[in-house]
Amino acid sequence: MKPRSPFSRLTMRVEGEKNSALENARGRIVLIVALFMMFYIVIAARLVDATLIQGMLHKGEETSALDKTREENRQNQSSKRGDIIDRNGVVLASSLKTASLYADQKLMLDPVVSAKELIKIFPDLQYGDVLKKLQGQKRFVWIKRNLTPDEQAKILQIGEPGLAFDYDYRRIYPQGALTSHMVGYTDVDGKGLGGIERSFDKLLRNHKDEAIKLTIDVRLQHILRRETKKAIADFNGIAGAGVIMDVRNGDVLAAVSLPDFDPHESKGGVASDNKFNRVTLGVYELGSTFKIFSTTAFLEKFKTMNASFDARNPLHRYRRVISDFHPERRFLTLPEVFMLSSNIGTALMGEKVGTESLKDLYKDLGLMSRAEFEIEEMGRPLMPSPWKEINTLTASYGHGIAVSPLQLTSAVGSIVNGGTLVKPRLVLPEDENKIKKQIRVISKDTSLKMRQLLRLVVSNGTASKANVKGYQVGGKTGTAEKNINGRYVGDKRISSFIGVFPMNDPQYAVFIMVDEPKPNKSSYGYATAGWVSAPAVGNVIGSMGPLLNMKPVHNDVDIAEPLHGFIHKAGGR
Amino acid sequence: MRFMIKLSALMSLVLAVLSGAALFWVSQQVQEAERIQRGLQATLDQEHEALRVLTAEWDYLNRPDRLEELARTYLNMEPMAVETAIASVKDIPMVEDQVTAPQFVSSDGGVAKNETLVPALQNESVSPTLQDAVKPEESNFQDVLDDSIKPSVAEGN
Repeated sequence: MKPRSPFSRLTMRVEGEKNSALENARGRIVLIVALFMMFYIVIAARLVDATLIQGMLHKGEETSALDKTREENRQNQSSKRGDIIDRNGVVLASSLKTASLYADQKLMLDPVVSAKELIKIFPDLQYGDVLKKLQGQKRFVWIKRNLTPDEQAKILQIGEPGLAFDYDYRRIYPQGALTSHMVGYTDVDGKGLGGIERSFDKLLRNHKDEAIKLTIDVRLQHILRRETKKAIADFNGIAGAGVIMDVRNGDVLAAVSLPDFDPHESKGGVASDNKFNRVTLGVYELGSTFKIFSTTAFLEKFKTMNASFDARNPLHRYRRVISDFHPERRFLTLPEVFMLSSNIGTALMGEKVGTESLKDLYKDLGLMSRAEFEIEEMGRPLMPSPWKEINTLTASYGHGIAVSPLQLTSAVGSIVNGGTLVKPRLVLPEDENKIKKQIRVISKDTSLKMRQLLRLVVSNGTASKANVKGYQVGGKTGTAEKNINGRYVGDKRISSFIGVFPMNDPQYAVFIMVDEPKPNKSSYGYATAGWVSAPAVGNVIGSMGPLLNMKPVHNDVDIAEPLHGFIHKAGGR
Repeated sequence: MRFMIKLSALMSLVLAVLSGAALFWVSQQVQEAERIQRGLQATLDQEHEALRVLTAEWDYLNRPDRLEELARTYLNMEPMAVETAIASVKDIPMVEDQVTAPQFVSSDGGVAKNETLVPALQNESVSPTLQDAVKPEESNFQDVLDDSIKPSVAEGN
């Protein structure tokens, strides 16, 4: 019998009825056998695929399961945040993936050589310590956190398989201390603790790949910081603050609070004094700069500059004496009062305006409540409480009322820009063209008169050092005695100057304040705002004008010209 | 009849095997494509990350205070003051000799005809910085250029 198929026994023929039954059974068996065969063929094919083909394809792609899971874990808990950029797209804060070095001691080939190489790359590490970390059976020992790409490349050059990297995100502030107070800082876990980092914490976490665009311009920020710093150093002050604001839309182009800090070092070691935001959180009695508001209130109520005030003798009211810093001892016209910064004249002005009208204007300008701004460190203004009649007189020349530099700058902006409220903003809106409702605070006429008066202070008055030829700078000085524990201390002052330019069409307001300036030789023993802050603002304007492509106009008519008729005697500083 | 059945069975077996093989092939292709895609994605991520690092480094190196320091140390220039700022191109003093456009000189020393470089100067992009400082409607740039060009063109001819 020649070999037959395995089913040969089933091939015997049976006749009759049983024939079909056998046929049936045989068919089924064949089917089952075929199914099983197919099943095993599939398994065999899959085996070939899994062991040979996949192995060949994946040659060279070595991935240890340990690494992968660790990276995935990291990725999930990573603290990548959205970027913060300035108005020109310059990076102010960014999360960068940084490598950290760890040792896998089991994979270590030559701990001694590797340790020697490592201390060459990191001179601050000790050879003994490193060697100890490289020897043993542990799979994970930290050696160095947050490497630079350069250091990482050098470590890869060692070629030691036991040295491996773990990646996480680190917040980097390329501008360093320059924008520290506005941009803010984060803690180790990437939680925002100050400035924009804090107020937009959620947004920055959830939109990792988008950027928040601020109104800050780092170039102007640098100019402002440089000049404020210089003014503090020249006059030996203890602190300072500065703001540059676009009075047309409230964009804060620069905001500086000194002393400042390096946001990378924020974890510890930075004094809380450095972290204190003097622009928004600090409230100060800014003195004579407040005369801008009382004069505005007067013009708004009486609509004329044709008024004069008796400044012959110190003013006695409610058992208080109000006197002038540089007494003129004569009747002063309104422009003279403003130009010479007469306390007596302004107090009389405040008295005529009345408590209610003055308070209303303060309220309209946003000086009575916390300002709305994009960062959370906002100071609440200090008001006399209860507000008596005498407080109206003192507040009119800036005593007994304290606001933040940001509030003052935006309030002055509201006055000079034509009379519509300026709301300071730090985040650039996406659609600039969206016309927002404008709130009118004072009449256009009063605004124009105030421009003239502010210009007069710089062209003829106390702030001549702020003048920049070609830009028609206007402004107002303010020298206030510091109120320490309820008493005014004569030799501790705050010198501030608010400048606006160009005065015939105001665009930018620049404010600089120096805390406790001391007189020096070059200022002939003065530490008043005209000597301290006004020149600093002048320098800022002189630097920022050309930078912003503003054309200096040298032959323009001085808008303060019509007021010269009111000036009876040149004087003041 | 029996033969017919066997043939169809054979056919379906062959078909099944073929389709199985095809399926296997396709799945391999997909896996391969996915692998490539993963690789590309990883490279892309890496490049993105590198880009972020470089952007940050660029802005770090371009810190205004650093640039100021470098400019003071290495450049023979000083910050622009308002007094020295020139509001209009017309205010730039023109020295006739310097304004004459550069010319191609042929090998025998003579000036080659019609090959002055003047036309290139008419290109608006020649001096973007100067143009920026002047509002377009106020720009007298073209006039100034034309004035300076005329004599040299005549000379060339």
